[in-house]
Amino acid sequence: MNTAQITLRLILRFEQACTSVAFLVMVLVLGWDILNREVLGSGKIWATPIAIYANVFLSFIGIGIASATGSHLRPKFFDKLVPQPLQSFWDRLTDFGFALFCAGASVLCWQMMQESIALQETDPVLQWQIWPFQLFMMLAFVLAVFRHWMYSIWPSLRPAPAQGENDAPTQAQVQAFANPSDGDLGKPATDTTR
Amino acid sequence: MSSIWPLVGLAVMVPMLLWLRQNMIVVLGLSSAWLYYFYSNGAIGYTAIDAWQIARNENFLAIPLYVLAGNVMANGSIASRLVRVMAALTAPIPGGLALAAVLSCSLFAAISGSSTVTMLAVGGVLYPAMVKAGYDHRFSLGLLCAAGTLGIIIPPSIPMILYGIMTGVSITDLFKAGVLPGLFLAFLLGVYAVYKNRHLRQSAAWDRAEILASLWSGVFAMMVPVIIIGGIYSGYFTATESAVVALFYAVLIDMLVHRQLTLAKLFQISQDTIKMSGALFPMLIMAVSINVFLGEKHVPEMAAQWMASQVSSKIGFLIAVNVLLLIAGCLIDIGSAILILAPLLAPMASAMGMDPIHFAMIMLVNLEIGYLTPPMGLNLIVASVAFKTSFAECCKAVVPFIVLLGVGLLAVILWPGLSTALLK
Repeated sequence: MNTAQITLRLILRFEQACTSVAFLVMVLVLGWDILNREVLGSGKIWATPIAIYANVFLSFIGIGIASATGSHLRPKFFDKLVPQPLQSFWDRLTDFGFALFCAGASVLCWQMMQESIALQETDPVLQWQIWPFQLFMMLAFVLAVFRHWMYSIWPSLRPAPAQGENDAPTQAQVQAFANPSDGDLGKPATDTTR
Repeated sequence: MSSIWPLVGLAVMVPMLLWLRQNMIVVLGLSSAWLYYFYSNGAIGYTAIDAWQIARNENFLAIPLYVLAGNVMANGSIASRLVRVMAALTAPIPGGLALAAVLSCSLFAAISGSSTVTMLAVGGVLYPAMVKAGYDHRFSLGLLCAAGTLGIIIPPSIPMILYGIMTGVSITDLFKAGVLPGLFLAFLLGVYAVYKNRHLRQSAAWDRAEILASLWSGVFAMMVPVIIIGGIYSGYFTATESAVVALFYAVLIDMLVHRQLTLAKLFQISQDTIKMSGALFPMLIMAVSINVFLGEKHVPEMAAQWMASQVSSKIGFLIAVNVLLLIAGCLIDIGSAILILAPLLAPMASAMGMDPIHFAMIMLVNLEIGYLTPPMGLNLIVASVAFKTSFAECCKAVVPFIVLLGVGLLAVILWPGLSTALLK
């Protein structure tokens, strides 16, 4: 189990590093485009497609980060239908099911990539072959298969579920809440009815 | 659509998947694959091809950018600076601190695209301050939960971006349309806050020194809504470009001027955003894929025709839709509700002769109320954890505010100009 834990941690670090770089690329190319347009009067035509691919990359690799932090969105209104003694088994089944889904998705991505290679598909603006980006899509699903398969074998590796909503607060925001800095806003108000 | 049986199978499969605790990516992904398998000659591979085509939609870029910009600003000192300005400006007004809460939430909503982030950023400063200043604990709780929901209606708003992607309505137009309904709802909350606390006031007169000091400290923070909304409204930036500018501005201000943001903190915040993207983006792609499929099979048109045959009047349609959306708001989160319901309801509304932007605002205000309704009201769940109070107490606290937002919803429904005036 230790090896699995270390492997999952290394995968997470790898995903975090890759996605951070992709995010930076996305922000910088879009910023550069706006700056050029406003200062030099002509934007960069390649900026938006590059930002789009960076976003696709970080969002698909982000599936793993969402898994590792229990952040995937899931309606919970059927949760109470599962009897208490079966909870642990159900968690394993859930992870196994997600791993199975991701395995199917990676096969479909592989087939799509094969077609793109065969058809020599390129991006119309960048003139780049698109299959490497599709490869990342497949890689994201393969990593998710591995991660959730591990969770189904060793449920203790499974992260605690987050709020489970796309709008949920970040860890830092909840922490900030615990230590508010209200300055002197909290001085008692005068009750004018007294 | 030749046979009804695959649809029956789908109707059985979805609850089964939810019972098996599968997340929305699996539910929507398998639903998409199921539809393609049964209604497109077994061509299940179209799901992946659709996903790939949809993923390259430029509009998706706006979501992580606004989320990151909002998170940067919520983690820095921008919220507390805005609150200080509003508290100084409202100090001698009866119920001033409560009014400051509404105004701060409105202003912060124009920075952050998220309801909960708005509630936490402002509530983190104002909730303890209001309780300490003698405001009723339950009122303060309810007010902050309700004012936080303004983040959905006042642009920029992540749910508006989702709505635009799902229905093809211009996101820029949605942003413009959200301004007046958002301000109207803020007005309602503000009037109630003042009336309810008319016996409480912070000081007898305006403190000119504090006003000037707070304005000086908050001038950069107050420029953010001007940049975002002004940039979009003037046509200077698209919604996505405005997010980029807001992000650069927020990072520069919080790093160099306010000195509240470090690179390590920025990395942590960006990871939170990526985590959200990893959860939302694949789900969104799967939902759009189903939408594309339904569009190809003319399902929305058929649904609109069916609705027209069942409900003859616009009023009947509006009543049915509002009841449906209020129930949906109680049971599912706003993102899922938009992904599932918007593509079906928007064509029906158009068939009924409604303006698409007006209908979007009706839908969003309905789902905004869903943030305050149990059992799945997100602001209630988050507030009960963050304010360290019971869920039941939060539910009781928001009751008067649900009524107020209901009045606001009624106004949005009956007065289309409120949503469309700024588009003309």
